[in-house]
Amino acid sequence: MVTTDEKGPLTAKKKSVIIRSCDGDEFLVSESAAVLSTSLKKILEEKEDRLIHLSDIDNKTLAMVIAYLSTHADDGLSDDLKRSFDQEFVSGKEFDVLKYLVLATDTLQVTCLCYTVAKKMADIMKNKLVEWVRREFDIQNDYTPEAEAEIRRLDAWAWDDRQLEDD
Amino acid sequence: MEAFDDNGQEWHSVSGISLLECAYEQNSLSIEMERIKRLQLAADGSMDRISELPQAILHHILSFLSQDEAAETSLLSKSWNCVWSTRPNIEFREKWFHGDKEKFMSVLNKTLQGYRDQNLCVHEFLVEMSRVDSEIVLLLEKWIPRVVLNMGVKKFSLYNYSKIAKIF
Repeated sequence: MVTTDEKGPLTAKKKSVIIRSCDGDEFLVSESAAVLSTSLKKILEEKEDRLIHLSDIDNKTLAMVIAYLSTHADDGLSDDLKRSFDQEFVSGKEFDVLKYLVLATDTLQVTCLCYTVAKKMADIMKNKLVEWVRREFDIQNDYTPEAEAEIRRLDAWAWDDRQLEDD
Repeated sequence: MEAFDDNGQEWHSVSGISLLECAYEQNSLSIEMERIKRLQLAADGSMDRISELPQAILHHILSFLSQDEAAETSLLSKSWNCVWSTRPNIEFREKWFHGDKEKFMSVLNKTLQGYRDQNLCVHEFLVEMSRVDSEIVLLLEKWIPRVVLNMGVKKFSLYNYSKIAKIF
């Protein structure tokens, strides 16, 4: 299956590449969008083949990254519109979706998107009680009560006055 | 070097210094060991929803939190304590210590000593103080050359909220 990116069918004249996800789906992407990823740019510089197989990025995550790359490669969009797109892009996404996105952007070296997604993940954790974060991300507390109390005592300066949320 | 005024603004900043070519073999080794430990946890099925991310990404996420917010993550679990205590951006603000200057200097010194002992990189280093006196000058004189020259710092900032503009 070859899917065109969100900007519609590509003309024969426009240079394009096919990117295949780890689960076999293929996406037709303009070269101008692909090269916004430093990793894809390097691959394209090194090989003639216009088919790139990404062995550790699934189709859903890849589709999102390509939508991002295509939007940012669109010269017809203003910087303001692109910034609004970035904010919309991460809002309301589940934490697990963001996790796979941040891994993919790290692999593909899409610095701006990696920054946006990592910041969104930090925002989710911000001002939350330790217990909330443990619950939300299934983090096993492997401290003994004594060890946890000792850390709280040693680093008390860091969280004495903070108002934290538990929902 | 850039200079700013003394109204809470940055007045000394060294940026663009990249000394990453310095040998940090020990650092790389500890990162590799951390990675192996994480893979073992993943294989056991005991990995949680976030800790499976590589340490570099977790450090990136923590970099958007202030030091006090990031410190909170050390309470999550032992592996998070490890992530927090090796993050490459360090921020110290005297106001967090409610006027206890001794505590502020002691925590700053202890933290930097820990980084030095483990040969860890510090990419961003920020210190904010309410006033500059001989004790803090001594401490800064001890650490600034090490942080700038030997720990790979890329951005270095000192903030001063007092009317004393410069320490050098």
